[in-house]
Amino acid sequence: MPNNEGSLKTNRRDFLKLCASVPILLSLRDVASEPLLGPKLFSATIGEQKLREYKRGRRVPSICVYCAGGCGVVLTSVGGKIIEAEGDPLHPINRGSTCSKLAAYLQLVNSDRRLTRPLKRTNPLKGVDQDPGWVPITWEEALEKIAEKIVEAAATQKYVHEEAIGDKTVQNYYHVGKDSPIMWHGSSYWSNEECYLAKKMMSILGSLNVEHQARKCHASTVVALANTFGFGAMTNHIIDAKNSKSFLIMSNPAESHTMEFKWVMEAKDNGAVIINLDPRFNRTSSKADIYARYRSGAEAALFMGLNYILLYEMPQYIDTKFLETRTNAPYDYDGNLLSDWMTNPNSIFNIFKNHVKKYTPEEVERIAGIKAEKLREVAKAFFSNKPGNIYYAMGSTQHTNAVQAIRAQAILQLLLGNIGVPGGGINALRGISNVQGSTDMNLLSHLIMGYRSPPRSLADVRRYQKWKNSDPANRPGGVAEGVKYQPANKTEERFDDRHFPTWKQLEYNWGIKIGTYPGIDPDNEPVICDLPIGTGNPTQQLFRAILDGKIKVAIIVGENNAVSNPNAILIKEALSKPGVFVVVNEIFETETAHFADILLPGTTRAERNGSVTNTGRWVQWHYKAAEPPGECRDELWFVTQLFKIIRAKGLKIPSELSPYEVKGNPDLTWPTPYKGEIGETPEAVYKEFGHPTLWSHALYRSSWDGNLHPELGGVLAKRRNPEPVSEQDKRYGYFKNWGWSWMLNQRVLYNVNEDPPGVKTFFVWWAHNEKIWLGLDRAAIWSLPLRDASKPEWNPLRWGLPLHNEPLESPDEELAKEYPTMWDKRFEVNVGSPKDYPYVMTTFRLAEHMQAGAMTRNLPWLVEAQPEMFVEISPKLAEEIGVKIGDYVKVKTARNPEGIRIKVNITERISPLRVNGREIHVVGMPWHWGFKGLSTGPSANDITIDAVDVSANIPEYKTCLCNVVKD
Amino acid sequence: MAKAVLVDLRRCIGCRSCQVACKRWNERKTTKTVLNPDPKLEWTNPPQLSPETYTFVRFVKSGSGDSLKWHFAKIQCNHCIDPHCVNGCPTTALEKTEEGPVIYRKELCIGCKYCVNTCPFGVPQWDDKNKIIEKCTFCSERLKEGIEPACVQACPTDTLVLMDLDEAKMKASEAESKGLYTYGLREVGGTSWIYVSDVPFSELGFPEHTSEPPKVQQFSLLTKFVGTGILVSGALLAAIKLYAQRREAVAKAEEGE
Repeated sequence: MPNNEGSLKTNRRDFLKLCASVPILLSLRDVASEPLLGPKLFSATIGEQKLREYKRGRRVPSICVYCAGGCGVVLTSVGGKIIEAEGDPLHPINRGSTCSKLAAYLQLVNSDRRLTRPLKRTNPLKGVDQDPGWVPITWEEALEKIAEKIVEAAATQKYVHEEAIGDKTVQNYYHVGKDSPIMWHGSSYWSNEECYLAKKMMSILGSLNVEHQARKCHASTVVALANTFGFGAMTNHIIDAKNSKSFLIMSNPAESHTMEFKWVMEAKDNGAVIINLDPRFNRTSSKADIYARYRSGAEAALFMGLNYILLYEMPQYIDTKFLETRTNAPYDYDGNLLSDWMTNPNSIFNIFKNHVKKYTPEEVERIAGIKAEKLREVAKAFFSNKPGNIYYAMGSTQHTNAVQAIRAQAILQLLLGNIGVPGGGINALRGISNVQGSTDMNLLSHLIMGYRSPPRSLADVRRYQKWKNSDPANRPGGVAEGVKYQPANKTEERFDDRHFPTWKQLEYNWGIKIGTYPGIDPDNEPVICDLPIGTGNPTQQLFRAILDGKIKVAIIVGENNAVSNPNAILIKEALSKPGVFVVVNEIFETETAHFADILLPGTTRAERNGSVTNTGRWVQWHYKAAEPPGECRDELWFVTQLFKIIRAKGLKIPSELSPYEVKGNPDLTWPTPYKGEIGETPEAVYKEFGHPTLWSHALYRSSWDGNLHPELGGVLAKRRNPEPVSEQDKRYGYFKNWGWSWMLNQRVLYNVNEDPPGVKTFFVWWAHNEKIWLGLDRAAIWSLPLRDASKPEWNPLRWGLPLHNEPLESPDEELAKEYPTMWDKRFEVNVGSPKDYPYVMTTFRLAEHMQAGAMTRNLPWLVEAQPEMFVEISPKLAEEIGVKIGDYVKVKTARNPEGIRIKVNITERISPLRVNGREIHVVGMPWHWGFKGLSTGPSANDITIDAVDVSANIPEYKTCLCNVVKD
Repeated sequence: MAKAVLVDLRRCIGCRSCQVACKRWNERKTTKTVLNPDPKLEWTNPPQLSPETYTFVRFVKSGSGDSLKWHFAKIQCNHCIDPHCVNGCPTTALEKTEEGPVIYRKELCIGCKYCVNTCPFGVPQWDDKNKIIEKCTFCSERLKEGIEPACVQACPTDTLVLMDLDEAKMKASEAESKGLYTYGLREVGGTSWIYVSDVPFSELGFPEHTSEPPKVQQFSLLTKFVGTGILVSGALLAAIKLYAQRREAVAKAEEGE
């Protein structure tokens, strides 16, 4: 039970104030040193020398580059060199503290292992064992070469497409986004402005083969939560944890999101119960009141079980008022409100209740290996302490049925009424400092901007032209009046309402044309569309496309796919393929950079300005503290220049290639139409997506407001006022004057009680027959967009409601038959059977290392703390295979039957589970390592499985089968 | 006013930000480590104090099965109220300051290693290369300016909290009265870093001590006098040596450029 007695922390704030009294924030001191010590009897100690420097330094606030917590950093520089990087004492999230990674940030910024010059490969052979033979070149040479390759590749893409309309043929001018031979991958380490420009450039180049880290971490979250609530994001924010009375933690925040745990501990002080479910006992488990193991891959079953307990065994905790007023529970499929919904079998409430019937705690025990009684204990503790907060991360998102597992969690929170309240929520903990922002900037193959699709077909473009025709204000190009817009049905109308204003904004801000010519009779005229049409290849398929020879130029920035993609052997093979020109922009020579033809030296966040969006949707500004070393150039400059050179080399967009007089002019608006006012700066780009007009990025609308804060140039992300704006703000810790939060500065999504302005409503409610979108403020327990009647009964998509499905590699053949995998064989995956690979393998992260490792495996202080790759097994398995701690084992999977050689750690923190009556061993390993850096080691992803979730294309990193043998 | 750090181990999540922040502020290098081979101490790295490590976090497992626990204990100089190292130091190289830190002035050290060999917590580390001792300074220079020690500032969960010594003692006593364990309230006569835990400190590998400060062999006054004498005469020689070394270093640096 919670131990809220005898909390010993009291006057921490007083000391923080002392810290804050040291001049901070853009102070331009850099004054001559003051005498620090009295009589100089002794030479100054290292601390004294450091303090002397520190006191004369110039201090600049920045945002941490590691996880998505959004902690504040203060960078102190003397003479242009950063000498200290510490937690920002004024920052509401971390209040001066750090995790071990941020504590070591100084070593990242000042690392002598950083790339400082553009490099060109001279060895035409690529491979792990090949020396690239780097020779330094200038940026001019590098950009010329890259632009040349891009222009050459782009010329091979088809832009005229014939279409038969009636008895005539028209020639349409557009690109099919998936067919582009140019791919872009990355990056969540880039700031919003840089991501926005990258997406803008790639879209104008006609490519939808654009992906980044988000595909691999929370793609399933976006699909699951967007189709349940409206937004595919963490519902609450970091500090909000302090308002929770219970936590159901499915992730490992103590290690992966350390600062989140600061606020969990704050809640614990106030009596909150911490429940942690994880296949292995980790640092989060060490602080849990209730901890239980389960089998990775059984998350949907766990939550269907919790839903069962709530609906059948503990219905007193159901929030019926919330269900009635804010969800589709009281309706039938067709959108009729049923007054007797609690008992009417046709209500979605009862349909769901019937749907979970199979998931008794005993059945969940059989599937997941968690004791039925333990599950009841978890349920009771979580249900009875409201508001309850679910934290989850990769443990839930990286499965072939991930969307379903997350939906089951979201539905549980709806039934409990834990959504739209401070301290509640379903909180997707995102992994990289700007992964929310880079997702919002849509560096993804199926989106164009603001979570809007590119035109899916020519019909969309033709309808869009009619929409423009119906209102002269919609026609920035001044097209002639013609056939007016008339949607065929509600579905179409809903799509058009959401997409057409965004496309119009893009026409205006990107200098492109979307429509028909001349526009009078859109159904019968040629289409001219500068936006690529369709959807591109998601990450794993992108690398398969390289192997198929479809990609000629691969640009990878701030991302280390050779370590971070599943079945990474395939990635390395793709990157080694002759005929694909690989460009990498990085701060270190990573495993991916090893395959580059041109390797560009990027900058750290400490060396540039821009905004980043944290996991709780706070948009915050980071300031440049120093010039980057050597010839490193910042990322915004890189993209800006690259596109200019590409255009100078003659690359044309479809409207320019068409014989018609309607032409786009992307140069006028490159990098942004606001360059005339404030130059080619991050602020100008920020203004483009944050302007408070209807035409801007829907989520970031009004994040720029020149009237509100002229002293900040209207950039609301720059606000740094920690004072609460109201009693409510003070009580719940909204910090509404700190940075800006989407939407419209709302801090807790769907919270009707939060002071305006903000968007508080759910907006996903569809009815079945009419396919009508019924209106606002109904969250979807039953989700029509996630329904496909053609699917078989075991498939959750048939119902629009979650079910458990076994991972593609299930350790139990009986369960695999009963709960078939959702994997639809969209591409070939090597699958092993439990006979050859009897153990369940999962991967995890460490507090001291970051993702694919480049930013931590190159830092001595962190390498010292977690020096090498290891695999964790239970003492029982160790005995069975005859190994001791420190021995080496081979871990083998169907992707890599040879296996990878890893040092073994034997620990009781891992324990076999009883699944379907049989004992099943679990094997866990961190995935941070690779063959480059200060600390090298085998990559876990050389053996993980690359099957993906069928709704979100996220790979099933977290569960596969393996064998472990003594080496 | 004497300061203290209250270390509430119940709050520690083993993130090691204190360990790294200390290395950063005090510009410590690293030691070569490997995966810790001790099954009870798994993940503890670096495994002990050294001239390059003023503080580290010890990871300790206890129990098994459903009662498995994982504890994290930050180890550093405890800055005794009545420090044995200060009392026994033949010179005044070690000094207990008014604010609480036990500080070290290398110019006054004759390298006798008395402190290294007799510290009840095994804290001072002999740096054989530079012939000096190294240990946690309690960031005394920061304290003087009203800034928290680097590790305390870095701690995300308020496991480490800087406060007045009296307050720390009071809080620790309160914790004891609630059945919690403390360390440093009485051990060796009390320390400026006081721990609170929900498990006995013997399980966390803390040495057992009574409330009696260890006895200094009673030659301190004399040795201090003699030691200082040695020091003064040695200082001259040392100064000459240092000057020579410095010239050499400067010459080397210039050559290097």
